[in-house]
Amino acid sequence: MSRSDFDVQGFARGIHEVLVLSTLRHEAKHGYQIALDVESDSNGLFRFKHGTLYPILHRLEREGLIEGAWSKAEGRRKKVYALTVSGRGHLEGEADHVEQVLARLIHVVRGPEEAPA
Amino acid sequence: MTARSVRPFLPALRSVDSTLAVPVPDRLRLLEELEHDLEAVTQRYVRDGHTPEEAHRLAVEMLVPQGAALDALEHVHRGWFARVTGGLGQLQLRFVERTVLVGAMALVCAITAGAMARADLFADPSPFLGAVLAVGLLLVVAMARVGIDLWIKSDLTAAGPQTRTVVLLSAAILLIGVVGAGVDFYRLTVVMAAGPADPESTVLRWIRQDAALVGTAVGLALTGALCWFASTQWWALVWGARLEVLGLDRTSAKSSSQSKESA
Repeated sequence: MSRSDFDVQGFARGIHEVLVLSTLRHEAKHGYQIALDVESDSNGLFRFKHGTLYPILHRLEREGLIEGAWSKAEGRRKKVYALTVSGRGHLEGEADHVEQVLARLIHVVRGPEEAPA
Repeated sequence: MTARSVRPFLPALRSVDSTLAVPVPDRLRLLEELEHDLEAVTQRYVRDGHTPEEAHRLAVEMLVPQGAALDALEHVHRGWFARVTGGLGQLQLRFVERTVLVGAMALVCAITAGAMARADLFADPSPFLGAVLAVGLLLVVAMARVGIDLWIKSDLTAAGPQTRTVVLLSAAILLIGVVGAGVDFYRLTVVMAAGPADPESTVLRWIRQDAALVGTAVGLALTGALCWFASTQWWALVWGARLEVLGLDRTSAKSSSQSKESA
C-alpha cells in the first residue's frame, strides 16, 4: 500500500463491506442475520441503520463476492446470501489491508515506542 | 405467493415502493427480501424480550431504507441504459434517444423497403399502399418507444400509453388495407363494366395491387398486435407482482391509477 493510494473515506465505507463478508465466512445467512451478527460480533460498535445493509449486500452480489439464493417456504420467498470463492479471496485481501491500516494508525496515535510490533 | 392475512410491514413497504426509483422487478425483489427480514428480525427482538411494538420499531429502524440508503440502492440497481447515459443532462439524453430512435427507424424502413422492392410490391402499387406504409412508419416508431420504455429504461408508467398507440395504429393500418382493397375492387367492377380492351390483364393487375396492399397491411397490423400482446403481458406480469407484494387490490389499484391519469 503506497501513501498516495490510500483513501480514508473509501476505507471507512469499505469497513461495512468487510464486516458483511466476514459474517458470511462460515455459513450462508439472511440479510437480517448478517445485520444482527455484525452488531453482536462488534459489541454494538458497528450497526446497520435505515436500511444501509441492502445497498452493500446488493453491490457485493453484483460484484460476485456474495451469492444470493431465493427459497420459498409457507408461500413466501426469502433470500439467503453465501460467500463466493472470489468473495473469500477478496475478504482475505481486505482483512490484511485493514490490519495494515490499523497498525499504522496505532503507530501514529500511540507513538513508535508504544505501538505493537 | 399465497395471500397472508397479517402483514404488519405493508405501510413501510409501500413507502419504499413509492420513493425508490429502481426498475420494478428489482424493486419487487428488494421488497420481498425486506418483508421477510423485517418479520424475522421482529420475531428475534420479541424473543429477546422486547415488546411487539418496540420490536416492530427497531426492525423498521434497522432495515427500512431511507435517505442515503435509497440513493445507494438506486445507484446499485440502475440498468445499463442509466449507466451509459448517467453523465448526460435531460436535454442531451432526449436528443440522443430521438437520434437513436430515428436511426433505428430509418434502418428498419430501409431494410423493409429493400425487401418490398425485391418482391416487386411497388411495381404497380395500389393508391392505398402509400397510406399503409406511412402509418406503418408511425407504428414502427411507437413499437420502438414501447420496447425502449419497457425493456431498456424499465419505465412502466411511460410504456402504458404507448401500447394503446400501437393498437390504434395497427387497427388503422388494417382498416386502410381492407377498405382500400374494397375501394380498389369497386373501381375494378366499374372498369370491367365499361368493357376494357384487355380484361384479363386488368384483373391480374388488380389482384397484384391488392395482394400487395392487404399483405402489407395485415403483416404490419399483426406485428403491431404481437408487440402490443408481448408488452401488455409483460406489463401485467410485473405490475401484478408489484400489487401482490404491496398487498394492494387489483381493482382499487386500477381505479386509483385511472383517477391519477384523469387528474
